[in-house]
Amino acid sequence: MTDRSTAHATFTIERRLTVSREKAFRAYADPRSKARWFVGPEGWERSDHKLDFREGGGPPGGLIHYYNALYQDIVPNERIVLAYEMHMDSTRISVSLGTTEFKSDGKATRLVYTEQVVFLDGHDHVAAREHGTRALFDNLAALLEHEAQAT
Amino acid sequence: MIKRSALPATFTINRHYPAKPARVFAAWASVEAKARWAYCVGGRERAITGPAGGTRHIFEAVYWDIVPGERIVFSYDMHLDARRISVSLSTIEFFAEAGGTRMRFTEQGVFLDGYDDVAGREEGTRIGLDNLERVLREGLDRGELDQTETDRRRAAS
Repeated sequence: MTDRSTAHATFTIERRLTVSREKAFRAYADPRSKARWFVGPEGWERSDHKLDFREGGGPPGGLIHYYNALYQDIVPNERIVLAYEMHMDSTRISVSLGTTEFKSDGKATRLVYTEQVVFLDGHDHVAAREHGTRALFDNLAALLEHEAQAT
Repeated sequence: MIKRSALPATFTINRHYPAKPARVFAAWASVEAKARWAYCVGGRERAITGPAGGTRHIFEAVYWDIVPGERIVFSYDMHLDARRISVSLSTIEFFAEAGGTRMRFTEQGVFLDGYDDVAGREEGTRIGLDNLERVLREGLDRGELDQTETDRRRAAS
């Protein structure tokens, strides 16, 4: 019998990206671009990534995914709101609401990500989730920097 | 041109009901599944309310986690006519306590584009929970007693 519990938390991450918000938004909307930064830490194997970037979009098929998201609100170049769940094997460990805002800052973009999360049954905790999420934004910033220099 | 904004906010409401957790959970499952949508993980629900001829309030939910008798997690968005005004994550938990059930409702919402009346949302949610309480009490009055209430009445008589 699982001992049921919940822990609710909210965290916010801000990043300044040296590209326009159209370019920053494209890194979320384009599957090839997203697959380049939305990845696990060094040494982790690549999972079966499927992206259906439209409101109501989610992966086809079953529920056994490490990351399973549903796009709730998309305002091109300005905002993405999604709900997502995390599984460890077949155990659901959290459900989250993630809001990403793209704000123009001169020629750059200020990205504001807010996650409102409920951790389930004692699995995972907010410090680890925030740490993992920051690593994704490091990847995103590095990718966009790299692309900006290449052009 | 819409001025875009997103305001995150969280509120929690606790309620006591004079019935066992399984009974209160069943009320949610039947209230939420009123038009026989599949009440299961991945299941969806849609409800449209509002004054006759006036603004339509459109609620659309997706169920993420259901532990029978113990917990429900769903995300939902609210539209006023065609405009999306919020997206929320709601957690409902049912705890057995003396004389019935404590239910804890937690909403983690993001209020969009200036529709940031968080107090109004909390008030609306409380009204919904009042309705649930009325449904449960009416059921008890009609004799749909669960063991907790049967025990209480036996002890009182």
